[in-house]
Amino acid sequence: MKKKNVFDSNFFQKHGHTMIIYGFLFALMLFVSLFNESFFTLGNLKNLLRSSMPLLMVGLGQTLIILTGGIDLSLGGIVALGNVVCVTLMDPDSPAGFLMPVAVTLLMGLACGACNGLMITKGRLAPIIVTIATTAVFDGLALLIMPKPGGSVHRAFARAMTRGLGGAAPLLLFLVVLFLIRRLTNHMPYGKALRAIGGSENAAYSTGIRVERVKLLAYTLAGLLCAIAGIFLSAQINSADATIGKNYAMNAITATVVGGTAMTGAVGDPLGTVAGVFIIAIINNMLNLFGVSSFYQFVCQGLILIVALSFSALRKKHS
Amino acid sequence: MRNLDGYLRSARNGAEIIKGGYILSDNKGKEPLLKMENITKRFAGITALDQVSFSCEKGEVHILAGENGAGKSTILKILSGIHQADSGEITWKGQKVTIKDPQQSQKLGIAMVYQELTLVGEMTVAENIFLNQEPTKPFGGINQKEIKRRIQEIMDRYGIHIDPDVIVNTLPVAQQQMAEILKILIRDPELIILDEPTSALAKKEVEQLYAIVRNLTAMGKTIIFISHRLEELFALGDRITVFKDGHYVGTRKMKEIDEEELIRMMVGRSLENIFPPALCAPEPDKIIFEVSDLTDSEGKLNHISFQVQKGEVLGIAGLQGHGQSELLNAISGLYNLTGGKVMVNGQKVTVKNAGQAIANGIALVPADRKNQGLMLELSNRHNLAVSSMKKRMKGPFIDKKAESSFVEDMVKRLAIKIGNVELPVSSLSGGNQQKVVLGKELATEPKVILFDEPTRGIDVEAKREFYTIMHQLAADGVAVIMNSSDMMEIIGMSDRVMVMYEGRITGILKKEELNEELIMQYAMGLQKNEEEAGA
Amino acid sequence: MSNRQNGGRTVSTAALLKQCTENAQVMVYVILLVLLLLAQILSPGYLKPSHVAGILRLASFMGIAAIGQNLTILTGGIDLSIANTITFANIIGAQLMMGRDENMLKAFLAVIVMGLVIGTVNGAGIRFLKIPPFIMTLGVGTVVQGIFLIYTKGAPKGNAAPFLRSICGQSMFGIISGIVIFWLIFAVAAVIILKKTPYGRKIYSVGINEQAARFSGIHTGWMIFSVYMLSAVIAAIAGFLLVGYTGTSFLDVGTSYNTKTIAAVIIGGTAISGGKGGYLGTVAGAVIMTVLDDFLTIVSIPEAGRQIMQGVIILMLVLIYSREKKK
Repeated sequence: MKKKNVFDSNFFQKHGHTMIIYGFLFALMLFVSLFNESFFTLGNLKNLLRSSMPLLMVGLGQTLIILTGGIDLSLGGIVALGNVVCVTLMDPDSPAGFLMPVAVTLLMGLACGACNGLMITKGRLAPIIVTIATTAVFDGLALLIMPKPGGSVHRAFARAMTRGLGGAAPLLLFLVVLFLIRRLTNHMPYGKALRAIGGSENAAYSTGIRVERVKLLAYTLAGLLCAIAGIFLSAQINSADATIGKNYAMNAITATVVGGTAMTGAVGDPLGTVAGVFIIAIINNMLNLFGVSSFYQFVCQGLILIVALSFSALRKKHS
Repeated sequence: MRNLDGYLRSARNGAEIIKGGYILSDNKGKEPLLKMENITKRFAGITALDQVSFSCEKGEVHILAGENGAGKSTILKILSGIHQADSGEITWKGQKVTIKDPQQSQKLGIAMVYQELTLVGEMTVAENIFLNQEPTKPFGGINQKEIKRRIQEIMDRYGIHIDPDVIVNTLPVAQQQMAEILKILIRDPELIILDEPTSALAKKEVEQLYAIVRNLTAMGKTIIFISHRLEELFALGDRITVFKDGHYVGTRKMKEIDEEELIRMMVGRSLENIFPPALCAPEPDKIIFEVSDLTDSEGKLNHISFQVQKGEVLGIAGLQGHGQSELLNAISGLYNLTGGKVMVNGQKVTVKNAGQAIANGIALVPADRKNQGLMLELSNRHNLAVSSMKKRMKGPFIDKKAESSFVEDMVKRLAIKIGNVELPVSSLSGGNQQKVVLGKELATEPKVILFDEPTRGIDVEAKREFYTIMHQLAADGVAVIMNSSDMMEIIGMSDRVMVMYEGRITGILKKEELNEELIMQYAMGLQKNEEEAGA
Repeated sequence: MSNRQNGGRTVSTAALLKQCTENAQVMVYVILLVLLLLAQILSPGYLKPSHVAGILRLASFMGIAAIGQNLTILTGGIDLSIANTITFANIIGAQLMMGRDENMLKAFLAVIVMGLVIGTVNGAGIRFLKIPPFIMTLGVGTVVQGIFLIYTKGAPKGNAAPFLRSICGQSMFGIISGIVIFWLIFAVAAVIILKKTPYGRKIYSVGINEQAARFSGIHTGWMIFSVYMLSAVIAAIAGFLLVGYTGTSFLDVGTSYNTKTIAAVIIGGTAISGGKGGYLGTVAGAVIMTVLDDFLTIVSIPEAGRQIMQGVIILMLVLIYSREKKK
């Protein structure tokens, strides 16, 4: 009997915040469905997932990094660069014209992430300042490659990405990525190392964890996820825009924080981030629905971030 | 390997029995397990270790002794790969090795329980124990069943029982310490280093730890043990090596050395020469500082009341983490109180923050010089002046001339060995850094001065100077309160000693009745003063 | 101007050299000098007084805004709401001035109040809720952006009062623009406050070791609160003055200022970890950033290229400075 109780309290300790945030998400969905009868239709849910896809990818990447106690403000830059690179290289006419661009974009994402990671680990620089600087570099590169929005995407590829398998393709992609990331963070030694570094870098180091390698991999994986976001965006909007990444870094932070990951690292769950992304998406959706100008989205997102941070700060104070 | 007598040893009579049964000479001619030769290590120009040597034989408990700052921690951190030696040789099982990081040290079979714990507070006990050591399943996932099984096994074997699924932060320090030890044991090392493992443990846990150490040596493991409790050294140790000020002093068999000789080796002189005589007698009817009924919200302080007489040095003793630091911090405005009052010279004062406490004449020389006392990368001038800037103003600006002469005076008064006042304070030795902290506080002209572990990590010469200054302050009518975990210091310096246990005062002892054993009894909550029982 | 300053110091070459290599704040003036000479060689006539005056005029907005960034970075924080604060101040300023001198005071006061509000929110979140500065200011910045978008409905109105225009114009005192004089006054005040007053000392103390500062009796919470307050107000002033330069306001007039002010501060030798550096170097940092931008424009490198340059320079300098620290 006693054993069971201990287990329960531990379960709640571990997953309590994730459960609360999902509770909130479902409440929000119900609330929206009161005003929008078509909310729970398959088409709308597919739409919701499709429009949230890029942020889901970036958010999962940001979560990896925040778990180490770091931060990456340049993720939006990588998304934009991914979008631009992917579209520029695309050959809409050749049947396999999407293969090379996708591969190159993925490699580019890895390289950008590794670049951040190397500066932070080998250069021993603060993540904020490195990624502020690389934001300028990535944004600049994207703009250099494509000064004006445009380009076109391989048709079949775009359709397969966004609507393939009867519209289940994005869902499948999302589930596979989520499964892999969550397995990494919650069920594999790497995740423990990630969290240990976030909790106490010194403790991790003296326990024999290769701190630099673990961190580098986190930044690199985040870069890769941003490249996937960039590719997906290309398929979704059928063109490229060098400024498309602007708000991703911040929204990804918001989603991560709303999802219950502590800014100080160690504590958090990618599943929570997913809920965070959907909450942001639904609120934006709702604002559109009520005909509120899109300008309010900025205020809203900023407020969500601050409120979520305040909550987690107050929670910490009380515990 | 080991004589059966090893099992018989117990904490209480360890010093007397069985030393004869132990066969050290067996190892003669054989390579020692570990040999460190001529190790030198410098930090920012300060020599922490100067050509020291040290060796360990398989199956022994080797005590490493010396005062704080003697270099014990440094040599062990070199051994565990945290620091790298500037020069010198390490031989492990007859092989020359260089240890360049903690991973390598672990691979060799060396494990260390650090003074500052290396647990990740946000993770569970089990996660911490198996950190970087997780057994995995075919697809790379962590094998939770295997973890459960092995934790159960090791907990049973050593008789330590902690709920493995509990988040470390929520455990008391003593249990965290045990978790840390489990984390080491699971790695099955050959050489285990325990750096002051008992400083936060109560009696029951200390005995548990002794049992673990004996269990380990019986299995042929080797232990390096650091402690400040003399009785502990004699109860556990086979051999002892003493360091002093970064130099090697000597190695002895525990059974061939007595307390007096040990202290002489550690300190370099006998006790009377370290602690200077008091300059005045306390005046029991003149109360210059008083607190009553101090409480906090976390239960670290439970209705604390005491008084300081004019001319006395009041010592505070107790096991680590029983509210001593919180008490000093609370009085100096750095820890939130929920009730009680603080009175300086009969006047009630408020101490909501450190600035207010300083304005009311209360100064604190904090325990952690590097994190709480100094801005290491800023100049000596900055550090000395920072708490008392308002005293030397010219309109809205700092009067640079007045400040220079103030700094010069303070350097002279405390005999601080300083190259240039504009250099960062990190360029000074530990003792001189601590003097800068003291100078910073004295500059506020305090009526009450609180010392928290005032001589941690400084050499004997500087200690003696510190003690002299304390007596001088007491003679000048300043209320002097000193918290220390160094028993010799407490006994040598205090006119009265207040012992704390679980946030309460369990006893106030007069100078005549001071001895280590009695203080420890109060510190473990085994005795209570009649006069305090009511409070 | 900066040329002269360096010339005056060459009393002992050896001492100067030693100081240069040890003190980033001096090194940055050497870098500036080299950069200017290089520009002169590659583009003759670059150093003619009127052009230099123009560069200083451009640099002064960044320089003024960087004072606030410098303060927050010295305490170990950062302010990422500067960009949107500048834009908002610019919008409010233009809208309330409506091109008339008599509206100037009203507009100025409104801008100051706006700065105070933003600073209070930033400071309160960072001080009381202990939210990391960069993320608090990032969030507040986004809110501010939303507010000015709503306020203008995407189309800012209004324009600068003639007097403000003349202050920020080409020549007020000979070829020196009034804004440069402003900057000079601000700069002198910033340097004096940092070097000579208890407030300055406390900023350094907090930046190096907040806990030790608290143990030394410094009200660290108030110090942190106040620097974000100052940063927002100074950014607001910079945004207001910028109206005089641009004439009207734009929605992205301040966008680049986060990166630019951080770059100026870091190039100027202030440590990103806090507690080390000062405003003197930042002045040179602001000029260097402006010269680079200007020179790259002259050799017709597009905006994107200049942006990349900014990022690379920040990275290079933090790498160099942190390497020095390790030794």
